[in-house]
Amino acid sequence: MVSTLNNPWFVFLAETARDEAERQGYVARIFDSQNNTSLESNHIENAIALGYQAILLNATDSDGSIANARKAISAGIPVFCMDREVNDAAAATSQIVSDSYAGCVELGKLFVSTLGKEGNYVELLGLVGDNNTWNRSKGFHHVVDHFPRWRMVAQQSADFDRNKAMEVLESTLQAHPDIDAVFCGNDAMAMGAYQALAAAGKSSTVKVFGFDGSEDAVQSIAAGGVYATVMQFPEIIAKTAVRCAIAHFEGKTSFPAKTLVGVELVTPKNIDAYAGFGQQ
Amino acid sequence: MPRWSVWKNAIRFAAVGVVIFLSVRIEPLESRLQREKVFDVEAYVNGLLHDSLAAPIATAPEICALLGRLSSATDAEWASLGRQTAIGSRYCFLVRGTGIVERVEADAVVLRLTDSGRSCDVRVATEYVFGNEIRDATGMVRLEDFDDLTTFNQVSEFINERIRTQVLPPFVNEVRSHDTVDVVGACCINKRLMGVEDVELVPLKLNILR
Repeated sequence: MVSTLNNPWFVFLAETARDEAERQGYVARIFDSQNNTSLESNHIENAIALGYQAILLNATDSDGSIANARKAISAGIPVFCMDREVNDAAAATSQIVSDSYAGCVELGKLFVSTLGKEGNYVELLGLVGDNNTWNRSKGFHHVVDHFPRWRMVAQQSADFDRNKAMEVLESTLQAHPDIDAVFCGNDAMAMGAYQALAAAGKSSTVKVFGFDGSEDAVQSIAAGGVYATVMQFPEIIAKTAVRCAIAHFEGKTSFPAKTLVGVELVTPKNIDAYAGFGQQ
Repeated sequence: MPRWSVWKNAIRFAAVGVVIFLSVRIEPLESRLQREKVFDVEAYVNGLLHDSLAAPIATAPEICALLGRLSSATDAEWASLGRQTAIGSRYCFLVRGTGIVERVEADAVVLRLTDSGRSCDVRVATEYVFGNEIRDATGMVRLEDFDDLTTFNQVSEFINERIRTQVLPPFVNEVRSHDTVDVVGACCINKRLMGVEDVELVPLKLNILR
């Protein structure tokens, strides 16, 4: 059950989980929650009614999805969260998440070591109800805020969405034309931001930083567009979740509350070692 | 005029009221629960740095010898030599060594170390100390021992703060090219990218030998 299929990263996550489950001999189906907790709730009820025995959940909202996940747990169906946390350990059997905070600490280090110790930047946040949004932002700020001559001239949410990011940055550039960098909470927004900068003739002077390691961002880094991203490994997340579900079917009852999946910094220097979605 | 007994009763009630007021404190349940759960990260980090790490540091491998071993290590050897807190290719190591300062850069000191008949160059970070290298390399700080990721991340923040404020300033002020330096620290190496990326050491202890 995936938060949205409107972002290629989540499509890859969902399809990898489904394909892996089928490869292991299980029946699997993808439900698209379209970033809507009510729809997610309906999907959970349907999944229970249809007799699915485990839910691999990419939650739409860290708080808003708790009640939905609890419904499955109450019905005796294990819930394994993929990539997105729910803020209640009892609402999930186990949560397999990227180490977003650590990734953005590394990105913050790259940001200041590349651009120097002063300048102006814009931050584009993801969905405000998602923990990943804040873990990424906090990791980045944990580093950059140590350098007081870096000034964040605007911080706005663009909901992890490429088009919204483009619109937000276009209007931000009207008020703050003199920026040196844009930090984005995911690659879709980084691509949208880059598009806005290109349209304004600023793409060669303003560096864009993203997060995810999506295919288009990796290609953009290789082509000298987006400057850097943090590679997540959705294949590892999906396969670990499937492995946990199978272990549960086989009688395992104890799982770690959280499992971290490592992330890696992708820069123009090491871009040759990467392809989209963590593939090598 | 009220009688003295009325005054006495009034004073008694007032005294009881004051006692009750002083002995009862009302606060929102949420903040009370929050307060009770607070884990003293600073004390935990103090204990880690001052007591718990002594043994692992004493047995930490020498840097060049470790890098030499890793260059031809199997997956199982990486797993036995290194520590991980996340699934992936990145392993962290506590290491030590003695080297000559090759050059002092704005954000690092480059050391040429020689141990076990092998030489290697290592960058010692002096500016951007923000990551999880030390926390993860100790192998003693495990996610499952913490309620949440925020506290787990705070362990690194406190460790790094200590290094930035106590370990680095005296060293950075004194160090010169050609100095001999004793270093204990941590580095994290991506198994898949070994050789592609420079090895950078986050120092835990630095001592200039003069």
